[in-house]
Amino acid sequence: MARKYGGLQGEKLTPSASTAPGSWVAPTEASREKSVGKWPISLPPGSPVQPVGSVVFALTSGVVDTALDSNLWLVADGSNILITEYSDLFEVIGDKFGGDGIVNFNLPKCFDGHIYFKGTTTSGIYPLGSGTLGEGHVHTWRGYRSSTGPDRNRTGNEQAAAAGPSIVVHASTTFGGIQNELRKREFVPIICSATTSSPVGSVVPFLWPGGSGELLSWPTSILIASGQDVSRTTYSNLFSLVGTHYGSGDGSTTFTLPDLRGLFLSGSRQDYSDGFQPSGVIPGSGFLPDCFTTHYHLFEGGNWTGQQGGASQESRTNQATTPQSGISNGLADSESRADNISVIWTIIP
Amino acid sequence: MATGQIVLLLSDQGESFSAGTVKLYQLNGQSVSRVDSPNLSNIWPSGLYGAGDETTPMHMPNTDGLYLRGFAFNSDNDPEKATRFALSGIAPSGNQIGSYQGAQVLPHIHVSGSQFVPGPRQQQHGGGEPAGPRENQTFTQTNAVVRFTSETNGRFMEVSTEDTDIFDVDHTKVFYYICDS
Repeated sequence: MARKYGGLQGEKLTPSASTAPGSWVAPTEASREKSVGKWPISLPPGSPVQPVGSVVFALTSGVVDTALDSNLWLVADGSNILITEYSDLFEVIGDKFGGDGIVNFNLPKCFDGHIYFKGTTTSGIYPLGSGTLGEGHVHTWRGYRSSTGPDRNRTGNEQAAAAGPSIVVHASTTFGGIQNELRKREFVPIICSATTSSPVGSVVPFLWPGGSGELLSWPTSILIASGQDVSRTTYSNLFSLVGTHYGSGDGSTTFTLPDLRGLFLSGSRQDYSDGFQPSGVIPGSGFLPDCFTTHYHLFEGGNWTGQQGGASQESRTNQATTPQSGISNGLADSESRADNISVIWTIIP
Repeated sequence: MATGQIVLLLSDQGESFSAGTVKLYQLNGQSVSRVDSPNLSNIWPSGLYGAGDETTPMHMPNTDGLYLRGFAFNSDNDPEKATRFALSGIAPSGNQIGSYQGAQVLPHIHVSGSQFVPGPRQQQHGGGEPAGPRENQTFTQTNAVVRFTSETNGRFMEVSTEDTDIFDVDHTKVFYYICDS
């Protein structure tokens, strides 16, 4: 049984136009949290900061264009740039993403490849990583061995112990072209080249740990990205950059923000060459489901591969977001996902 | 209002550093003084990510290897939010901000079909009616004749149930820092 901090339970209110920028206060729980003096007591005013070398996600290409105009931000598109022009950034990231490190250096490319961001605490390691399916991911199969009698239900490991073929996962990205994906929306990662504040229309994560969402106070300078409608006049700066890309609200006085509750964020699977203009629509900026790469499993051991004349025995599965029909049990889990910690995705208005 | 803000940094800036008036701490499991970081202390209940009280330093989570996932609030986008758990210590857990969730691969099956018999390789994608194994076809192993068949329907490898805890995506590594301002 999951233990909740402070014993919190109950309904969480959904933001609406009237409660935006994000009022999650359930009165009884708020008072309870307040009475125990725990979380959160108050929040100081101020603007989110972005140190040089940090990354935020831009909601639309309009946001990107405005950020680029400031000369403080760069799109994480793998560009090769001059050290003399971006000395502050070079001081921070060096040539770890490429470049000669003398005259120029490369930005990370967070499109059409290493689009997600994964935490690390180890300095000096190669800063990229690839999607994997677990080597330990096995299937039970039923192999009939005439010398041992009836059908036996074995896992790969058991089969190996029985000196028979074992099942080994071989994740294949060579057919289908499908990568592992998390439940997500795609945005444009932009990199700060000199310490500044978070740009309008960028997504910034917050960790206010221990809470269950019933915020006692929430500054008007931050919007929770929860698909709510907000005023076009109060947030005119944001509206001018985001428009109705995520929904037109009531069609006249409000517009809709993206809903990032429970989701992962990433760069785009589309290549970012000349940007996403003129449409202004970032591919993948809608909800994208999780999936795992097409893959197959090999039976290894004994004379198995020899019997195939050199060809591997394999089974394959399609990209799967739902189980195949015909199987009705044992599929309680509902998604593929990576190790994660939960944060509040916010939007800078 | 940068307190509690997480910065994704492309480079290691050590345990902590400053950007203007903002102090940033790496989320590497370190402990941070409440006296030195009163704003962060304000939003940081005691007992998170490790034991302690209001007079002892705050424990930062160790985010090595973690992706950031949106807190679900009341949405269903994190379908198993209720079983999220504490990264260290006992809190935050469940559907609370800052809780941890391990990887998993969606349980799935593979069609065995003709991939398991000698002859021309045929690609068997999932979906639709799979081809069943040719029951009379056998593979000969040193001391056994093995048929790929099933007690139930002879078609499938079973649903994966074991060790489905490794799942990763194409990524760029970043260092997470939390702000106190």
